[in-house]
Amino acid sequence: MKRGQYIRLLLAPVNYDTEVVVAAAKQMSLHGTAQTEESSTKDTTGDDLEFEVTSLGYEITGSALVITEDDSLNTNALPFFEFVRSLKNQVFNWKICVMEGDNNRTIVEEIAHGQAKLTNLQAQAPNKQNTTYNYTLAGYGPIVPGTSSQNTNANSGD
Amino acid sequence: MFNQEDVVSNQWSAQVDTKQSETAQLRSIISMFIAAQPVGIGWDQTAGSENATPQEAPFARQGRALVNDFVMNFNDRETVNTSLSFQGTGGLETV
Repeated sequence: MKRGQYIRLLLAPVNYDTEVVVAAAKQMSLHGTAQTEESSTKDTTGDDLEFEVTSLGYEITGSALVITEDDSLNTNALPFFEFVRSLKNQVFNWKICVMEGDNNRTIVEEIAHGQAKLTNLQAQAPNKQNTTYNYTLAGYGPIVPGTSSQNTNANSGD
Repeated sequence: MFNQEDVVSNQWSAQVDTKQSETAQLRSIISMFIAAQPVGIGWDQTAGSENATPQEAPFARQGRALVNDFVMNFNDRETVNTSLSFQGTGGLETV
């Protein structure tokens, strides 16, 4: 990553073309966990246990700042979150990308993508200007590592 | 009053925190995780360019491990704080 580039989360409900860029106002994390179990039973003192993976899971958590008085964002980011809140069990396509350019809307390269469901959405200390949303997306199916060198434009608010 | 229990088996784990600035490394971590297969892991003193050359120190150990947890914190513009946890499978051997 070069100086001046940002990492962003791009979200779109499945079957929707428009992606929303979710900036990491404070933090964004991708967290993967593997469930393991012993692959063999040993009963001799001092044996070294062996394990195997039985399932994989992941979640994406973060906080996104939405400036409610910014018209350009009102048409994109805030309605998007309100729209998301109204959905139940919606599957989202997500991408985590390195971005640059005007308002960081040009994808330089993709780190990973997949599908997820929103399991938590919290509005933090709203005031006249800003609301920060904390969100949790639970992975739905596999994570797919991205490919480098994309350079495409993405839509919507910061 | 106090239990007296025997040790019947051994297991080990490892955890490492790093800062990554290369996106290829991030994709490699994800690939390693989704492969769900043991990877070689070593514990050793290093030297040389970027401290990447193992020295086969007397305390060096190697083994195989599963990636059972990873976290990528995208807090900075140019670097990503990563945390990797490994569940050892099988023994830790001398190098």
